[in-house]
Amino acid sequence: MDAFCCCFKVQEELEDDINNSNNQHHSSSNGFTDLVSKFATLFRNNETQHVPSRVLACLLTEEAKTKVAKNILEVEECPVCLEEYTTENPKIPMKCSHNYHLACIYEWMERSNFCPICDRVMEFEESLDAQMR
Amino acid sequence: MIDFARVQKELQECGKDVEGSGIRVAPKSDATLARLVGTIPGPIGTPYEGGVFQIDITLPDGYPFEPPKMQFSTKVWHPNISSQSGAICLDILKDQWSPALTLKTALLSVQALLSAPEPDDPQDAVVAKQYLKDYQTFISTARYWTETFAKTSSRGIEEKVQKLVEMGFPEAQARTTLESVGGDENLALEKLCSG
Repeated sequence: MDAFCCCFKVQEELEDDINNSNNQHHSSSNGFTDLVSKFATLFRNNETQHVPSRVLACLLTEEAKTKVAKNILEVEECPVCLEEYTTENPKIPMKCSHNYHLACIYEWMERSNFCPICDRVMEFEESLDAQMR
Repeated sequence: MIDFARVQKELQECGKDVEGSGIRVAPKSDATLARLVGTIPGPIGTPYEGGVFQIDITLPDGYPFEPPKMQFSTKVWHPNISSQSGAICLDILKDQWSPALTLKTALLSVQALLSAPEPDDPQDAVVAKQYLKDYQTFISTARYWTETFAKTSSRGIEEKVQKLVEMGFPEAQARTTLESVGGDENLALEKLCSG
């Protein structure tokens, strides 16, 4: 119901948008049904980038919204300091497939040779090892 | 130097799932994050069921590269916990610590220890001996200790709230503060005064 109301509010905006992206179909104003079918075509042709994000957000199902939100929120973080990886302080992959900040894993290596997560002996990825030499 | 940014994040994360896990962690006072109080519910189906156990946590300078120091402040009858001091015998709090563990996962391990005693690696020899030789007596003693020391009845909480209100603190604030420190009147008062 929310999505429906929301679509009505932005109907004009959406119509303009569809008309702009589909110049050959200039006979608009055929009502809401027509609009929805045009919208469906856009979706089928994977042309949703032409749809205003406000409209798209209204039409996404709750499940899809959750998925989108999760993807955005699932930023990878270092398991030691719980901070995100950045370009200045990037993700360092170990051979066992676990990742850490360089400073974090070095500090742990002063105390232990084992991966904090899987407890296997820690080694840097070879490519990285070569780079650092 | 303790990584306080991480501790702060841990407290937030743990706070989000109190209803799911039953595990709480809160600073002892507003002055520092190095001393905390953890609370774990006694596991269901054990003689600790129905009890709420408080654990004093002290973070060493090297945290999270060194394990947090944890000790029961609620008296508990268990082979791997000292009935006198509350000291805990648990490998992850010693040589098996990993910086990928958190205060919450450590407290969950302590809770798991309540469910699965290891009498062959005891902290309290008397309790361990009783566990091995007279299991029924062990169960009833552990249950009695839970009843006596780990149950703050809701009436008890109301009385404490009332006391704090009489001292001039707003009721809602008194209640949430009491809850945040697991019902310890003195800690609540300390927190209310410093806040």
